[in-house]
Amino acid sequence: MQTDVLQGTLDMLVLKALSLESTHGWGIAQHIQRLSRDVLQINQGSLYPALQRLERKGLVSAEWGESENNRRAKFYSLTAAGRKHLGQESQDWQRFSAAVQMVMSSA
Amino acid sequence: MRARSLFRRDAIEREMNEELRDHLERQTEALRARGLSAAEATRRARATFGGVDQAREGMRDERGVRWLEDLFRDLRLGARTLIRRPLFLVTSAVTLGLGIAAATSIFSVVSLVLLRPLDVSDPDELVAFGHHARGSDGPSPSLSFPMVRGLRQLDVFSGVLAQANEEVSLADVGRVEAEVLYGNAVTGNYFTMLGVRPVLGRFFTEGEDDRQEPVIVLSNRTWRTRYAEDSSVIGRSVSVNGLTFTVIGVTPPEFHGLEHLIDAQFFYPLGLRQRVAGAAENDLDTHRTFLRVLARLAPGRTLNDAKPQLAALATRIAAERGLKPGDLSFLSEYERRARPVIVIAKMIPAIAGTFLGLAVLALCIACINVGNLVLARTMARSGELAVRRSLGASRARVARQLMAESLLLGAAALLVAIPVAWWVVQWISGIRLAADIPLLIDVRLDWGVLGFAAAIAILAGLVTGLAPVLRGSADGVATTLREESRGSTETRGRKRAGAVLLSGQLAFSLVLVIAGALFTRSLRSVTGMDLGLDPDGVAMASVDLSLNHYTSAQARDYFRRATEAIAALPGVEGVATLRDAPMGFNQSFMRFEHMDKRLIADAPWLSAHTNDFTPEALAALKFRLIEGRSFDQFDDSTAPRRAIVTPEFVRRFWPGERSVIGQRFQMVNDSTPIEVIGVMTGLKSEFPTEVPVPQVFMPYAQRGGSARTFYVRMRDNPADALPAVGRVLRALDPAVAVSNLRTMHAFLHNGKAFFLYRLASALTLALGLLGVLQTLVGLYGVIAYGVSQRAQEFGIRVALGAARGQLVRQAMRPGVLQIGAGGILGVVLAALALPAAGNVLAISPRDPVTYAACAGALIALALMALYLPVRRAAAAEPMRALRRE
Repeated sequence: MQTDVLQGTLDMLVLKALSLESTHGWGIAQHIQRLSRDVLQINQGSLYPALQRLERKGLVSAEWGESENNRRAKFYSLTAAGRKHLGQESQDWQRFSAAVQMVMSSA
Repeated sequence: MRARSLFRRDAIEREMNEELRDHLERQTEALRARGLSAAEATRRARATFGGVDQAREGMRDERGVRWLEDLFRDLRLGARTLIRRPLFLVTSAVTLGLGIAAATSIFSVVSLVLLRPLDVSDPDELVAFGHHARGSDGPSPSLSFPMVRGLRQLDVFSGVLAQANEEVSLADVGRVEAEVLYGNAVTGNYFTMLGVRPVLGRFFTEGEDDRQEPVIVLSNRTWRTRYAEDSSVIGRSVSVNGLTFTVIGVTPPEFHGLEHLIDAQFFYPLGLRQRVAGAAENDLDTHRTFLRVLARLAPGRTLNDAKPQLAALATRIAAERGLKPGDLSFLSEYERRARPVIVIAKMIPAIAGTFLGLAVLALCIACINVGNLVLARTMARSGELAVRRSLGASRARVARQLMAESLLLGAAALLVAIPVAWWVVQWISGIRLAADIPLLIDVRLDWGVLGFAAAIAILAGLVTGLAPVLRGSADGVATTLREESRGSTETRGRKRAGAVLLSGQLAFSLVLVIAGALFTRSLRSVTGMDLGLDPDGVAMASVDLSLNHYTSAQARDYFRRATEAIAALPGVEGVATLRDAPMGFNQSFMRFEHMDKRLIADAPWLSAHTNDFTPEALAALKFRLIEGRSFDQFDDSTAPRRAIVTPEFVRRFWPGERSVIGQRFQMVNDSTPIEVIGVMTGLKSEFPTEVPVPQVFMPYAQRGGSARTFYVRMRDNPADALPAVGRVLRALDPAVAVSNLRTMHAFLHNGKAFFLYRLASALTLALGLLGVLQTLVGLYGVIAYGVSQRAQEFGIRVALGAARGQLVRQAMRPGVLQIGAGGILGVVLAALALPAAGNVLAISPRDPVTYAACAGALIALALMALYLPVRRAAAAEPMRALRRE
C-alpha cells in the first residue's frame, strides 16, 4: 500500500532523511521511500518546494556538487538549526503518534 | 535573498530546471536498472514525478519573489481583461475619476484658504491678533497703532508688523496710464520679519516707516502687468495719489501679501499713510483700530507664553483709554488657525470639515457604485475565475488578480480625475469678478493635492476591489456563486442598505439637478429682468478724484468737462454720471424723516437707498418716470433741494396719497426741506431679484462728490467706445485712474448682478450631473449584479415557458420601487430645502415645471439603467444560462 505523506510531516521527513546523509532531492525521496518500505511515496511536486522552504528557513543548506559518475547535482545537508528543529519535531511526533496509537488501539 | 532572487531570476530559474531535470534522469535510470525499456522508464519517471509544472510553481512560491512576478503578470492580465471590456472600463474610470476629481477640487479649495502656509519663512511662528472692546459690536480683527507699540515691548515676540489696506491711484505720467491699485501700508519691518526677499531692488529698512521717505515696493504681478517686467523701474519716480514716490523693489511672484484671497499690488511705509490719504489727522497717533497685525514668536516661545503678557498689556491700554480693566481684551491665534480673519476663524474648521466631509461622501458613493459595477462584472466572469481556480490558481492568486484589476481601474480613474480636476481648478482660478479689488483665487493642483488624488485613487481602487474579493474568492468563486444564486449569503439587511443608498443618491442628485435647473432658468430670467434701467448699448467708466486730492470745485469742473468731451465722441447718444453704480459694490443709504411729524409708529425715520445723477441720466439709462419731471440744469446748488423718489418710498412716507409731487421731507439732522419733483421706477441696486426698497435720487448738482461713474449710451456697439472714453478721461488729467472701463453688459454679467447665478447654476448643475451619473452607474451595477445571480433561474423559467416580458417586469419591480421612492424623496427634499434660496432665485423655488421635468428625466434615465441589464439577462438563451453552473 502506498500513502501520501501526511500534510505537515513532509518537512520533518526530509530533515530526518538529511540527518542520516547529505544528498540531492532524488536521494531524499529514495531514502524516505526505502525507510518506509515503499509505503510513503514522496510527491516531487511537494518535495522541491519543501526543500526551498527549508533552505529559506535556514534549516538546510544547499550547494551544487559532483555526484557519482561526474553528474552535477544540488546537494542538501542539515544545518545546526535544522538538527535542533528535527529533534524538537521528532519528540513532538513521538508523543503525538503514541497518543493516536493509544486511542486507536483501545478496545 | 529576495532581491537576489529577483535580480538573478534567470539564473535561479535555470538552476531550478536543472535540478528537476536531474531528478527525472535519476528516476529514469533507477527504473531502467529495474529492467524497464528506455521509453517505458521515461514515461513512468514522468508519471511519478507528479507534475513538473506543479513543482516549479511550488518552488517559485517558496522563493518568495512570487508576489512581484505575479503582480506584473496580474497587471498585464488585468490590463488585457479591462481593455477587452471598454464600456465597463470607461464607465468605471469616469465614475470613479469624477468622484476623485470632485474630492480633489474641494480639497484644493479648502487647502487654498486653510491649509496652505503663507509663502514666508517659518510661517508657524506667526501669530495673528484681534481685540474686543466692551460696548463695541463684537470682536474686531484690527488693532490700533498704540496697541502695536505695546506688543513690540513684549519679550515673547521677536517682531511685530502691522499693515493697513489702502487704495491708491498710481500714475507714471507720460509712461503708463494711471490706475487704481489695492495694496498695503506696512511697518518698516514687514518684509524682514516675514523673511521675504526682493527679486529686484530692495525692501524697506527697519524704521523706514518713521523716516517718511516716499518709497514704494511693487508686487510681482504689478511689475509684470503694468511694467512688463522692466527692471529699470527701480529708482523710477511714480505718482501715488499725486505724491512723488520712488520705486525701490519688487516682491517675489509667490508672495501676495497677508490677506487671503486678495493680491496686494503695492507696499509703502505706514508712516506715509496720512500724506497719501490727504487726511488731516494721523491715525497712528489715535486709538483707531485699523491695522492688521502679525507677530513672530521669539525662539522657543509659544502662544501660551504670550497670553499673560497680552492680558497685562490689554489692562494697561484700557487704562490709557480710560476704560475699566477687563473692558479690553486681545484675541490671539496662530496665523494658520486665524483664517481668513481671526474673528470668524473658529467657524472655519466646521465649514472646511463640512466641505471635506462632502468630498469624502462623494468619493465613497463613487466607490460603492463602481464596487457594485465591479461586482456585477466579476459575477459575469465567474466562469473564467472558476476555470482559473480549478487549473490550480490559488485562492489568493485569484484575489490578487481581482485586486490588480481594481488597482488598474484606480489608475485609469486617476487619468480621468487629474485633467478634470485641473480643468475645474483652472476654472475656479480663472474667475474674474468685475470687481476693482484684485481677487486672488489661486487654486493650484500642487504636489500635495496631486498626492491626495493619487492616494484616493489607490484607496478607491482597493476599496472597489474588495467587493468581489470579499465575495468572489473567499471560498472559491464557483461555490460562492452557487450559494449566492440560492440566496443563502445575501442578507436582507445588506440588500436593504443598498436600496436605501440608491434611493438616497437618486434623491440628492434630483435635489441638485432641480437646484441647477432653477438657477439656470433664473439666470436666463434675470438677464432679461427689469433693473429699472436699460443696460443695452451702454458703456461705463468710474473715476475717484478724491484719490488725487481734488477739491469739490475741481471735481465738479472735471466731471463737467469730461461729460462734454465724451458727448462729443462719434456715436455717442447720451452721457450721464451716477454717484454709485447700480449693481456695483458701493451703495449708499441715508435716513429721512417727515418735516413735521413722526414717520410711522415703529421708527421715527426711514433708511432709504440714496443715489444721485445728472439730468442726462434719464435718457441715457432710460429710467422710467412715473409721475412729475426729471432733473434739469436749473436744479443746481442755488435752487431749493429736490428729489425723485420711488413708489416704495411714497408708500412709506405718504401712504394713500394720489400724487406726491410737491411734497416735502428732510434728512435726519438736516432740516433743509427736500421737494419731490418726480416718481420713477426704482433701480435694482444689489441683486436683480431684490425686493424693491425705498429709494431717493438727488440731482448731482445739489450733492457733489468726487467719485462717479460715467454711463455712455452708444448708437452702435458700446465696446468700441471704451478706448475713446478712457482716453478722454485720462486726457483731462493723466494722474486720474479710470476703473470699471467696460460695457454695462460685461459689468452685469461678471459683476455681482448675474455672476452669482452663473456660479450657482454651474456648480449645482455640475454636482447634479455628477450625482446623476453616479446614481445611474450605481443602479446599473446593482441590478446587473442582481440579475447575473438569477441568470440560472431566468434560464429555467424561460425553458419552462415563462414569457420574457413577465420576467423583465418581475425583475424590475424592486428597482422601480427604489427609483420611485428616490424620486419622491428628492422632490420633497427640494421643495423643503430650495425655498432657502428663494430670495436669490428669479423663479419660484417650487416651480412645478422644473420639478416635473427634472424628476421625469432622471427617473426615465434610471429606468433605462434598470431595464438594460434586466432585458439582457432575460434575453439570454436558456441553455447558456443553465450551463453556467
